Amino acid sequence: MEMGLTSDIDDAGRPVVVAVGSIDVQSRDRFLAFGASAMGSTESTELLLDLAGVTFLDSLGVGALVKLDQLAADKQRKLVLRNPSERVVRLLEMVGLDNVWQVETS
Amino acid sequence: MTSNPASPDLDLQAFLSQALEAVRMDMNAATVAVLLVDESAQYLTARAAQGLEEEVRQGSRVPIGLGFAGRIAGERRAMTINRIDETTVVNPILRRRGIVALCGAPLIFEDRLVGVLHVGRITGAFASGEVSKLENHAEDIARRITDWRGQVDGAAARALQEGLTPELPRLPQLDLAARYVPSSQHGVGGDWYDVFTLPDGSVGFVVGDVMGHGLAAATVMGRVRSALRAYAIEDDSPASVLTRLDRKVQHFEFNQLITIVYGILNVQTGRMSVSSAGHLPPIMVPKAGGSCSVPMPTDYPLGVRRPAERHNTQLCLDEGGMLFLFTDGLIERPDADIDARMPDLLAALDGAAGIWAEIACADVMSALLGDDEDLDDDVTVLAIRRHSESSSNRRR
Repeated sequence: MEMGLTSDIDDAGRPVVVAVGSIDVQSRDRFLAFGASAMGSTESTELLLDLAGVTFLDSLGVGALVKLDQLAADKQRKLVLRNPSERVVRLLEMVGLDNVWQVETS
Repeated sequence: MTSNPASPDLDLQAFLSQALEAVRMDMNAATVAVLLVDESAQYLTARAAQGLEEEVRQGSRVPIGLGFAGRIAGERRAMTINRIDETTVVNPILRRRGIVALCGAPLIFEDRLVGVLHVGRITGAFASGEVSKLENHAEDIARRITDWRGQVDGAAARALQEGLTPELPRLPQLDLAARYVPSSQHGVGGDWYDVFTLPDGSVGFVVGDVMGHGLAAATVMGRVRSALRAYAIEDDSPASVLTRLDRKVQHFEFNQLITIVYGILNVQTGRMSVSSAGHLPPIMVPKAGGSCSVPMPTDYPLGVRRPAERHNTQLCLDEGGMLFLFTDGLIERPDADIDARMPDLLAALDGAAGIWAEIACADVMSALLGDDEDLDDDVTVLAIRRHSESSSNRRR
């Protein structure tokens, strides 16, 4: 499935990346590049990933999240997951990553 | 892959000297050179040239972003200069050669910068219309070089994987079998398995997966595999071995992501201690069937930059029972969840309960990879079966 990516800035001035669809072998590079550029767009120390619309994540998609986290750490920033779908949460649990990132629900 | 994989290097040299000659004639140039981006992605190295052979011989290197070729690479666009001095050209060879005009284009294939192609004249300037002619040549050359890189990487990674495939130890108490299958799309990757005896006579076993494909993943795998062995002979706690390995990975293997299951088995008693770093849990296959995933905590994968608390889970491998370890490539399919084919795997293992590990592996591979769909990922499986007392007596 295709992935849609949009970016925004929330009320607290944090960049938000809204991903919709699949983060997988096909979309991971685009997701990474998009996230990295959103991270550089403000001075905020957080990058919000809105994953409410992510319907599918494969192991490379999980890897992309970790890569983005590593890029963020390089720039003294951290990722925050917003509204991850149940499927995303289950997959993160499966690879032991369910407690790595702060999760916000709204 | 279109050309002879046995000699990709000769193949590229032959192609480049032909291609460069054609470019030189077509562009009416005195010199032509190809520089390729090096491993670090920070430098261009001269790879082939005509009229500038010493560039290649001296291994000329240009930092990306600096000088003529460096700027073409940095800005990813074609450029022409009709004034040559130390402010526009870093490379003294170009300046000494008496070149008065240079025209260059980036070598880009599928969005990836491969290098730079440039041509020079000793008399006359380049007209703006000539740039697109050079860009067409650059496109062809970039495609060919990418092709060649794929072959070289593939061949080297295969050799590395083959060289690192461990011989399974022969132990009277254990029946071991393993498989490694490269991805049909990307060739070999970062999967591995390992089984070794430890100084106290127990047996260490590993299945791991370095994320990524090709030579890059395979070389990291090689280093991580031997580092794990080094820690394993000094430490009898799998969680602590993985903690040390994680520290090593975070320090020396920057920005890698690796999942591993590592366990230690007492071959006399069947007692095991197992720890998982982000890896799918092993499957316990009792002699009488009823296979299930081992309930155990999955700690962070290696390379996640967080303080990770790692856990050991104590298990017992009963006589005639089998522990089955695997990488996600076995059960993951495009557009389906990571564990999509878990039920098929459990069924196949139940069918193989109580029989030889080699047969169990063959059955699993045939049940899960038997259809002709393309494999996106490489696949590794390891089966460890404990002989029943009667059969191991017979073997002695």
